[in-house]
Amino acid sequence: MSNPHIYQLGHEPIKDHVFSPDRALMAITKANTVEIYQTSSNLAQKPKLFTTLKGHDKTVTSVDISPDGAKILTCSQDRNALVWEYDHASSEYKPTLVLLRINRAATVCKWSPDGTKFAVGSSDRIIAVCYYEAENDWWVSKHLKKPLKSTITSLSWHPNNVLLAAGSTDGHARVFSAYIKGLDAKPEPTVWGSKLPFQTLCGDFINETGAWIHDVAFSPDGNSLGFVSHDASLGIVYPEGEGLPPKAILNVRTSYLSLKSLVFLTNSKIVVGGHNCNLIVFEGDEHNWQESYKIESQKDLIKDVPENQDDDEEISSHQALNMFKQMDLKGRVNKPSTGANKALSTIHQNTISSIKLFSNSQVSTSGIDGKVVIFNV
Amino acid sequence: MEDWRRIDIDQFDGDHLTPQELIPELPETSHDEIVALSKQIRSALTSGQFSEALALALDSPPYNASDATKSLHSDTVFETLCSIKNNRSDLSGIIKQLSPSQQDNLVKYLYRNMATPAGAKQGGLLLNWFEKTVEITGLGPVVRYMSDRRTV
Repeated sequence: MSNPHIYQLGHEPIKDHVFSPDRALMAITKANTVEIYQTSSNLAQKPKLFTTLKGHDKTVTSVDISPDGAKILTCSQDRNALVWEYDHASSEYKPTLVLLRINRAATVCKWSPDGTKFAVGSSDRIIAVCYYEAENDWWVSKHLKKPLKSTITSLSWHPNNVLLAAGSTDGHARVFSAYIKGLDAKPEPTVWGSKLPFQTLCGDFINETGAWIHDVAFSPDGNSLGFVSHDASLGIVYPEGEGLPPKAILNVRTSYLSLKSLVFLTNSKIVVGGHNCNLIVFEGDEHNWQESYKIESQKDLIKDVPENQDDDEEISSHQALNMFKQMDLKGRVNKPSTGANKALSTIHQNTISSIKLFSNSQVSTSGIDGKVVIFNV
Repeated sequence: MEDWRRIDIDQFDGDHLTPQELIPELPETSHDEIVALSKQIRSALTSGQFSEALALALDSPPYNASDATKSLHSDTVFETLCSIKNNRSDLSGIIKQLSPSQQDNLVKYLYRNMATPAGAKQGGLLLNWFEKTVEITGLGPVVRYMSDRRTV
């Protein structure tokens, strides 16, 4: 097992990141832009900034690269989504507008597994399922509306290219059919249902507390759905079949801060991360899921007091202020460390905002601290 | 200029989500049930079964009940906590015996009682319970107290 690869890419928050399927490109969101990096096959080398996509006038909320690696999809709080394609003549990325027809921010976007369509979630209580219309040279959308009544925070496509899971701020994780007539082949029946016209609601699950769902994901075989929520719990649902109540709904509480993102490594292994800045691995099946291990060993900031430094060293006024703040807040005197000590014992110094699968045994994370890290699991 | 950030823009949408709809549906707990439960808890306390009394009090909080019922139960939990603190020294041992959901509920009632005048007078006691609980459970129950839409 080798060490994680850490890329510090500026200090602005990275809300979302994605690697191209061949791992040669990496895209990260940065304020109103998306930065494209060329990665080296030697992961120890820092990715080189290739270009910056400027086309949105508000914060970019999500980025995704199509399964063939050719198209980059971005969406933003400016209510737009753009599809970027590399133009060899001018050697730059050219955007195509997507007709989303939404009145509020777009929050999340995801390509379908075959790359012919994509879904954009919004705070307009709409999921726009978009596909390309060649005659007009633009992307048009069909809306999934009912019974959505709150902001969509996350989306995940089923491997069959038709079912779409969405997590929202009302605490629901729902599974819809996003079948587009004339574009998709008739899907095989799955545990989620057999007749799937557009907008069929195939599953609607609420987490125990009703807290925000931050991320949803189908398992690799598509037979279960996982979601993480703001109450620091992980939910996994195993459906029984059409019209039947689910075989099992499992809710695993954790003892950490809220969870922001999850990714299935295998059908029986999930990696989650979030506000506690560390990744946690869960393992289980339809009978039971439980916490397996943490990827990084983590010190508890409340309990573990950093060792006192040499008393003779001078401290700056800023550090002195911090010291008194500590006395005030925690009733304990910690002489501030003067070295370049990290505040947290984990690599990420702030919330992990997205986790993606990098390889069979690696996941990549991006964080509010401006880092992208590739961890071995 | 008008404070446009405070305009309720949802009112212009016909069919919007109301705060009530966000609360997960649960069966209603009647006032009589909670009165009966508080008697049961008190008798457990007087016979010295402290862990049992606490577990009983935290097992099924009245999430869907009137305010009067909720505060009655909260007072019962507070009494239980005071009584245990006065009679037993190893709070940690008692907390460890609780199930994870009971521990979550304990934190909820600690916060709720901190907000009451009676609780404020016994702040040290509540903080003591809180410290011991979080030492065992980590921050999860605190996060769940803040994010849970079912209030105690």
